[in-house]
Amino acid sequence: MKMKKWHGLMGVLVMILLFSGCQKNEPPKFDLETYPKVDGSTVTIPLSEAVASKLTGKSLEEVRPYIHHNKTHEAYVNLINGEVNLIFVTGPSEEELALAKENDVELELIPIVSEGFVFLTHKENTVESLTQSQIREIYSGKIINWQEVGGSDTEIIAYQRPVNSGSQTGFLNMVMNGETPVDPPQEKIVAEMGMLIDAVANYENTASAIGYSYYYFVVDMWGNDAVKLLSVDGVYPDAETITSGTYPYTTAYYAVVRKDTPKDSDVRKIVSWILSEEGQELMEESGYVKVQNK
Amino acid sequence: MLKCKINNKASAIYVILIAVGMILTGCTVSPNPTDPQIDDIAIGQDVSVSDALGYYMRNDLKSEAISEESDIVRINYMSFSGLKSQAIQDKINQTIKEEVMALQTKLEPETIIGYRGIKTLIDADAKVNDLYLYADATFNYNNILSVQVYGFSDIKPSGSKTVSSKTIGSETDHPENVFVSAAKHLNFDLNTGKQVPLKALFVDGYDYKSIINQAVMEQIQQSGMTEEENDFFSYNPGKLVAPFDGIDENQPFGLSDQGIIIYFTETDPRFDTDFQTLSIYIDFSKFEHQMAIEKRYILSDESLFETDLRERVFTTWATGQSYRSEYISGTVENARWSIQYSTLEDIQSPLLLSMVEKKKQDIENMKFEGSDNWADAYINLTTIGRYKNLSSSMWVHNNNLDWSMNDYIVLDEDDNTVALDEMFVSGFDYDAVIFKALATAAKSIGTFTEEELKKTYETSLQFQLDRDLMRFVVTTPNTNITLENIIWDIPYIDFGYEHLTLFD
Repeated sequence: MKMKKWHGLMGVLVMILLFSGCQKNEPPKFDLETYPKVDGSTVTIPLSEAVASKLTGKSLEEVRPYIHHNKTHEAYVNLINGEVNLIFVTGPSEEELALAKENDVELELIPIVSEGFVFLTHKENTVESLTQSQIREIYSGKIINWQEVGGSDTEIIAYQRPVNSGSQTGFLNMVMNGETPVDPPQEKIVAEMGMLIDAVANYENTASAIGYSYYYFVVDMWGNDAVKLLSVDGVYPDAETITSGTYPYTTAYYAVVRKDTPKDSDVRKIVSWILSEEGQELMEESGYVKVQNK
Repeated sequence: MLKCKINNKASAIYVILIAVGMILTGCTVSPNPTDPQIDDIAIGQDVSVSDALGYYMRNDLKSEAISEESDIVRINYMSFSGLKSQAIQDKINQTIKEEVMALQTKLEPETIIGYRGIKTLIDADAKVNDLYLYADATFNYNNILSVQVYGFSDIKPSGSKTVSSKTIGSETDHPENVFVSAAKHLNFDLNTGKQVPLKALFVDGYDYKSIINQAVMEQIQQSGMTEEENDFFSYNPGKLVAPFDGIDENQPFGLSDQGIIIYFTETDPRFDTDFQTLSIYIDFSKFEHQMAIEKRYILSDESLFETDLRERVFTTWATGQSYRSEYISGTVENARWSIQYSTLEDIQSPLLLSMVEKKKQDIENMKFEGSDNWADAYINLTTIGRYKNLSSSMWVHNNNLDWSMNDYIVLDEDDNTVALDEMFVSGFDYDAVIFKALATAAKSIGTFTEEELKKTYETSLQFQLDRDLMRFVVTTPNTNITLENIIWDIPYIDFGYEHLTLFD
């Protein structure tokens, strides 16, 4: 009697297992030879590898040699020139938009994962939240002491990133809104040939410090138990608030195709699958933040 | 091992169905590749007391270079001898040879190493233009032998397009070749020929992973590895493409004389390195004197080697971070000058800066005549054992005459100048050893009488310490060779360690 019940239960479990597989959006199938040539930025490499792994049924180690991202600008150039049909990148620069126009190419940008621009301080800093206006005033030198924003009487050291780096560009566009930041703290660094040069100082986690980064790089980074993320306008940056857009500094990584890419093309099937529930789960497993379902 | 006995037909069917279900729902089990060498490790003896690493003892190994060369492949590696145990020696040499040959396979198109994106550029029909393989010791002390195995391949992809490159005065088309390299270290315990694991380098229980993680994080930030754009001035070893969540307990590593090289291999998904092995160097000084390599593999007083010199070699401990160098320049009447000063210590050290000031003063006090004159000075501050070594060399071109001058100063822990006789036990006739070596060195400069040499020895002798030798300088006694110096070295071992105080 007991054996029969167990057999019956196992039968149900097996059926659930089988049907749960069938009910999901069927991902398009490829092998390593038929998978479209893609390109993109460095930060989207894990995303690209995860998608290729899933859609070819190969392990990440097996697909890795077949995924080559040439960085953001080169990826846009390759898409515009028709060298590739799908890229995973941040939004295009003025230069890339001009290049597309010059080549009579219209770009279609599809957000596939969300990203947040986050501010860091030492975990012992009593300040938990800043307004957008306070952040701008800190970085434009109008607020110089943590006491002015509810913290202790400590000078603020506002770290920045090197000019033209991706995060500095993001900072200027998203946070400063055209306002010029003060000169960043400098440090001597050893450059090539042992030469010592002045450089924008790297974030040093002290009670005085404030710095910034993209959420993707910060969230699982080693040593992060010593730093904390600041809320902005009272909203703490996490996967939920970044996905919903309630956190003010949000952006996205995009799948970009040429607008004239056929509806039934492989690359559109891939993008469509990334946006499916299963695809978004994979994005999350790969360390990214989902886009909001619309 | 898990054993499973299926005792009836129905159960067998369910097992099969569950397996099919797992396949259909996409469940897979990834293999967890491990380096086979990790299974062949030697943990050495317990070391619970922190190790100041004052000096090492050189392994009395001999090495023979083995070279093979064809039109395309060049191979250079070392074969070691001098161990009492032939079996262990053979095992080490065989391992080195096998690793070199294995690397060759990994750098050829058909079996190319699995770097990210490599297959989009190189297919099986690609051709190797040049393949270079190399293995040599980078650390050879205290019964540990660390050998770097490195390979480089210049590959022409099949049907590759040509790209235009404009160099000064010419424009050429050349194939878009792909450059692939790989590196690893073999770290042998010479007692057994087995591999030294990373944790064995440190005192038992020391949290070395946190220190290494911190150092890696610093380098990730300093070299802009989270930014896509390259900083023109910074060395950029690769890009971080996923959050750095720390090293593995068995992270691949190598040893150099002064630090540890941590490797992130091509299978590490967190870094993108343009087809090369990412290595990050961390100075021993980062480890708060918690190194165990001085004692870990010295299992008894009995030497492992056929000869038993036990030559001592100082570390050059840096209390600072890494090599730092600054350069200043200017002009005085009829001449330009430059001073480059460098150290592993604090670049703002008052000792160093006072020597910079002294050299500036020396230059300003010189009277330059004619044109195209210059004076270039190089100043260095190093720590050798418990001493500091401050040295300067200056080359001068004045009125079509060239000459040089050196200043050597040795200081103790309290920055007091140390005299030569303090380096030796009392009663030892060190002058005899040093003067004899001077007489030999002087022969390559000119012909001098013993009296001339004695006079310059007594009036101008200076010394400095190096890792395994003492360096001496005197001005030449012959006025025809204006202010030329005689510089010569004497290994510490030649004095006899029992006569030296600096190792006490």
